[in-house]
Amino acid sequence: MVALPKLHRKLLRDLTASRAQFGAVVLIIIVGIATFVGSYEAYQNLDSSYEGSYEQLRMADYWISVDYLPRKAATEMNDVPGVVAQGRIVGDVTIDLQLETGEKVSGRVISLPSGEHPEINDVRIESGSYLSPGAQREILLEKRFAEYHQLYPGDWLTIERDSSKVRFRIAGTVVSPEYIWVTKSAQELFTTARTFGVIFMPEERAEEFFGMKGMVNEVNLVLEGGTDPTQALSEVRRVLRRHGIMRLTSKDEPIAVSTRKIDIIQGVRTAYMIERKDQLSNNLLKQDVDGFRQLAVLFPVLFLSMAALAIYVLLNRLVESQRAQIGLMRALGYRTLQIMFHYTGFALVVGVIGSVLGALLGHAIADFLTSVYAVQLKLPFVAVEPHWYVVGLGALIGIIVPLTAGLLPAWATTRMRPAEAMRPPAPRAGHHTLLEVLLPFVSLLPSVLKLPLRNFFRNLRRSFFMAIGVASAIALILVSLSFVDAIESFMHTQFEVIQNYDARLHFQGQGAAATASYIEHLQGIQEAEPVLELPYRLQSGDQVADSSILGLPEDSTMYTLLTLEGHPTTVVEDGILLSIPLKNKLGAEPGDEIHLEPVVGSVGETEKTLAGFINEPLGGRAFMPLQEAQELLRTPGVATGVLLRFDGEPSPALMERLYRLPEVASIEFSGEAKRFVDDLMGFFWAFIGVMLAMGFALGMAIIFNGVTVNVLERRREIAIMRAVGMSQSRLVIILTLENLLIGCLGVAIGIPLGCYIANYFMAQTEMDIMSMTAVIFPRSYIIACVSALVILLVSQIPAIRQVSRMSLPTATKDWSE
Amino acid sequence: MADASELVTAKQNSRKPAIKLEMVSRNYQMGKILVPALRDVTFEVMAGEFIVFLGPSGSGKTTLLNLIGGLDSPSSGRIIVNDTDITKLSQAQLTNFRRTQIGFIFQFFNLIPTLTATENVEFAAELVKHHRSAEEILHEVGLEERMKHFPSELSGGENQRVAIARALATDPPILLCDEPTGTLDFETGKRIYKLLRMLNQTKEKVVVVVTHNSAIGAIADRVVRLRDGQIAGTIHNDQPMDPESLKW
Repeated sequence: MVALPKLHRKLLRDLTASRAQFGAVVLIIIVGIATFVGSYEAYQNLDSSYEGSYEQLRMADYWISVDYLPRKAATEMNDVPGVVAQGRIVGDVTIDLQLETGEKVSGRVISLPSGEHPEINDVRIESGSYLSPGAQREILLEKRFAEYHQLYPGDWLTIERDSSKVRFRIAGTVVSPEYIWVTKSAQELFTTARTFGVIFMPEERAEEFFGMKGMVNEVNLVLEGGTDPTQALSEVRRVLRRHGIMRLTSKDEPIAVSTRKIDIIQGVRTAYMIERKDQLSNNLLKQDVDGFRQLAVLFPVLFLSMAALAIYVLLNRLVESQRAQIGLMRALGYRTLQIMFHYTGFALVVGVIGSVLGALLGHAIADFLTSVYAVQLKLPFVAVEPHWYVVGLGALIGIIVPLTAGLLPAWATTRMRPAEAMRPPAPRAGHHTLLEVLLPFVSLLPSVLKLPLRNFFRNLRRSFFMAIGVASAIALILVSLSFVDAIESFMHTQFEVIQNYDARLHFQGQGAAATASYIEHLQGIQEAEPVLELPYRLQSGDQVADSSILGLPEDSTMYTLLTLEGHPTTVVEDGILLSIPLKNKLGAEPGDEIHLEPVVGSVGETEKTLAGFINEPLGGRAFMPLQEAQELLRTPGVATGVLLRFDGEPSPALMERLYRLPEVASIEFSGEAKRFVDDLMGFFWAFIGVMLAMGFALGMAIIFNGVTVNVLERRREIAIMRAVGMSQSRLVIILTLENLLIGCLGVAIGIPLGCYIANYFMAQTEMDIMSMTAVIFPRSYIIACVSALVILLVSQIPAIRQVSRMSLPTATKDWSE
Repeated sequence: MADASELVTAKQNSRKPAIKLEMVSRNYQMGKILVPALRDVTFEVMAGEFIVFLGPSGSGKTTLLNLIGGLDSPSSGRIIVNDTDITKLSQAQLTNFRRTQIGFIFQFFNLIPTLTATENVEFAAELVKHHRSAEEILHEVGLEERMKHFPSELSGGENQRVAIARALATDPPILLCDEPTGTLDFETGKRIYKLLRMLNQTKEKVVVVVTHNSAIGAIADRVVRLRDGQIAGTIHNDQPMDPESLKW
């Protein structure tokens, strides 16, 4: 057996002798690396899960929507080299749930071949079975909707379109890659399972239902690997032209409204194409996951920065306390590089242990976070696998960070002269502190108060470094809590302040604003306001954003608009208000002209002056007066929905009356919408929960380390105080007061530091559909500061106990460790 | 027939100088003031000699020891140890010099607290290719029963003997001892000096001791007095006392 060189044995023994401090640093590394590996692997898992789902269920690369097209057109497109094409029918319907209340909800029908799974945009059977061959009265139901309404295979569902009502038997429940995030439209992104369901109907039945015999109104395309999209789509266009579709427009190639007008007059038919990246569900999921990816990098960077600082401080103090040993090693003939590598070795050992354990823990966290998200979204395919490059990268970072932090103190050992290093350090120069100069009465204070003040200022470097440790802990805890506060504020602002209606009634397409007046007179209704929401493209200079415009009554009491400062405001006559996501996308300033172009139709192109910005956490829309929105359509009195406030709990009879209104497609209750968004945030809560726990653990480790080293390196001083007769309790008071002073400095630094970092982090998590503002409630400041101070006070206990038990004769004469 | 003192003188005269200092000065900058710790010191230590440098605190004796041992560099002058001018050596060469030529014994032992007695000796021994076994050296210094103990488990005298064993680990020709019994009681101190004297006589090691305790001078071949950084006087002991007879 090869004997371990004594220098290495010294390293191991020194680590063991100071295992609490080094253990704390190892914990810091573990937390930092676990956070990185956990978050980033989870992000990779989610990305792989989506892509896996799309691959397994053969999600389309392109969707082409038309008014109608012969089915054979899809067959012709199939003949284009590298293209797999499939036609289908997609149409919106109403679902009659056959409840006492007469409740109706919105539905979307998508046709599928019966007897065999489709080539593109397949579904995965969750219960029951696929559509049987030749099935006429069978449907498949999207799982979430089915679960909510407790609909099972074998149950019957009534689907309405125009005045036609047909009953269908549910053959099975499914998940679809196109509806992982189930949403009705870009204007109704947060559709609850209660009010919108996706139905998969046999092709022949759908043709009959929609009166499209032998026709399709959507073609899905998949381009095989290596196919040139430009070439392939050019051929597809040719096929479309052969069947009377002269234009193929898309988000990247929009058609000007003026051209649309001409097309309408001339009877030119247009198809609209979207790519997978713009497909609603995929786009929303990617935004969500991208936001998460940013946090997955930011939090670990924050944690590891604190880790680097803690390691630097610890190693610095270790080198300082082992000056005599360093001098001895030089005296014995150890080379400077040997000594430097010896002290770097402490950082290396800490890094290796921390990174290995951190990577393993991170992997477990990744599994947990992935499964939470998968459950939330009911992902058809969940990829939970080790991403070794992430684990490896995490481990590498976990070694590099401490090594880098430890280099400077290790390098300092090479500059020590052996003779000086072995001499006791010269006593510090004595002088009155700045505090005593500024506040002379300090000198008159009793020693139990004077000593902590003097000690604090006499070794400002030590006090400052310890305060930085406390500040880091506070900042870490505060940043994590700020996300909790931001989500709470977000939910409160959106659902208590802005949306202070009880329900929103959605029309099927466009209806009459006058319906609101009718509804307001129904018993049980306190108030009703019409609203008009239109999909619009907004442009300012070169910047373009696809969003929607919400037309609100100027005196609306049920939809409160808030300025960026949080003050209530209202829609502006002849002006437009933009939400924060639109503000960021368009880069416009109040007074700028915003070009408005309808996404569909040829009416409503105009320019409006930007009147200001609105703080709406959810939505990312523009706002204008209802009347002006109606003027865009050149249709006075039009609306797409009604906001309702009930007089107490709405009775079943009232609900029945509402559902019976011919225009009504669905009614969305605010409380349910709020719960839905809350559920969506479930993953975010899990992530923040993990970050908060990590932040606390990290904070504890940093403070414990700092306090312990701070007490232990003054053991001689403490021993002398005891030797001259100072009681243990007095000593504890002095040390505690000094630590509290440092703690207060830490609070003073930590709070602004935490606020700054929280604001920065929040700014990185922007999404098109959601904007969270950095908010820190007073309780969070209190929790962070009190936690840090409590940890500080508790952390000093082991160190004080240790110095209390030391041998006074030994400690008073041995100035080195 | 030559008498004993003549024989001693003859023996001394036939020895080569192991250590030679020529006009060595060492100054320290303390703020604005330049403090001369040593001033133009010139002397020689012969091979096999047991020499004691005596002087009060601040006389420059520790500075002198550090300079001889290559732990510090003189401000001016030359120091030649076993024919090597160490003032001309680079840092790396000085490290090598200390490893092979010098064994240090400090007042406060300076043992590594987390290594046992054996490991402390091996800590130094591993620096050279061919070295004696730590156990053997500890046996020599009378610590065969305490080899596996940590410094905190040893008495002051035992700690110092470990330090001596460590100093012998690389078999250096010169032992430099800075107040080796400063923290020890009288009886223990005597035992240490007996050991040092034995090493000097049986292994021909040059032993340089710096101390403020004038009683120690009696066991040395030569006593050099230092005052204010200069040599104030030299006494030759023709008949050095047996350390057993030491009293202070």
